[in-house]
Amino acid sequence: MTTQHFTGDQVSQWVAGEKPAELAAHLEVCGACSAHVTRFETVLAGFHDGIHDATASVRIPAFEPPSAAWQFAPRWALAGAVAAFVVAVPFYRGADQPRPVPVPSPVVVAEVSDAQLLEQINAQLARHVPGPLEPLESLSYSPLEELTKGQNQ
Amino acid sequence: MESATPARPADWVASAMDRASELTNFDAVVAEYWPRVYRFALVSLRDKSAAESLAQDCFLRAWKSRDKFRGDASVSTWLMQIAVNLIRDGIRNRRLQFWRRTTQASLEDLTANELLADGRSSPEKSAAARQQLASVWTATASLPERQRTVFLLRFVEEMDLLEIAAAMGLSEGTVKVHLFRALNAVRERVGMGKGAVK
Ligand SMILES: [Zn+2]
Repeated sequence: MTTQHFTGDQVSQWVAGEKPAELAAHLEVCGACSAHVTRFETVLAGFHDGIHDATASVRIPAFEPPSAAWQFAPRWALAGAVAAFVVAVPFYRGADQPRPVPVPSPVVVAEVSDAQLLEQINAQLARHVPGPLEPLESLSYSPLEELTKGQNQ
Repeated sequence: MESATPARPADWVASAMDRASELTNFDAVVAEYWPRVYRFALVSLRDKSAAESLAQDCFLRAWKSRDKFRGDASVSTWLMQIAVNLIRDGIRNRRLQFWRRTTQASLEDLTANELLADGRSSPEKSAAARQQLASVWTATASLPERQRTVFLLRFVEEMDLLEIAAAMGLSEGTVKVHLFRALNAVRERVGMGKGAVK
């Protein structure tokens, strides 16, 4: 039917990109419908262009794999930095003292730390809910307590 | 014993392999698709910090599961699927509100004017164009979640119905229903009336 004006759904159909021949034929002869869909398309195009203009200069961060993605994921960088600090302090304090009893190798400790951190990262990535939307309490986890326990035993 | 999976044309398989191989250079993937993911997150969440964090999460998840990507859809559609899921879960779990409360003084959405303030052509943009954008921006805010997502994927990201269906895990028919409802609502809210053309 080409003699009746577009229904609401036909307007939507047209601007959504579905353009059957009968609608095209009606637009050829109906100034009201033609002006209406043109105006709506202009509004939608203006929305599109405005959003693209507004986000055209977005900064693109450098990507590094999660195991070393401290720059890409600052919240994990914080946890890693704190972990490194806590691990380093006991060794620093004992640097000028004799060590009659062998202590855990720093290398071994570091490997444990990396493994724990990686496990934590994997757990974060596997979560159903995105990390940034988690409560900040989730950031309070650290392998530090585990490490500290290890140091004290 | 023959596989129950229907055979796929050789050119389709080659295309899928091409798509999958795109992920071998992940830096390039981030450079190529970050603006799109960020933009979609921004118009969905209406919060710049939340959009950036969500985009980060999207690419980290993509990186983690890159070995499972077989190229059934384009990399772009696959990333948008991850982004759609993150946004949906964030909104439904109300995590977004908590997160925003910790990062900004106000819970107000980003306004169209604030959005346009970052625009490269904002000084030249006419008042009428700004008003048009603002009216659609406001209209989309009150759309139901799925309608808004379909609308934004179609009219901001220019995805076709099949791509949107793949990204949202819906049938093409369902996408069409949501899109038509969204358009009817937006059309009314920008002052163009409802129902048939008069
Ligand atoms: Zn007409």
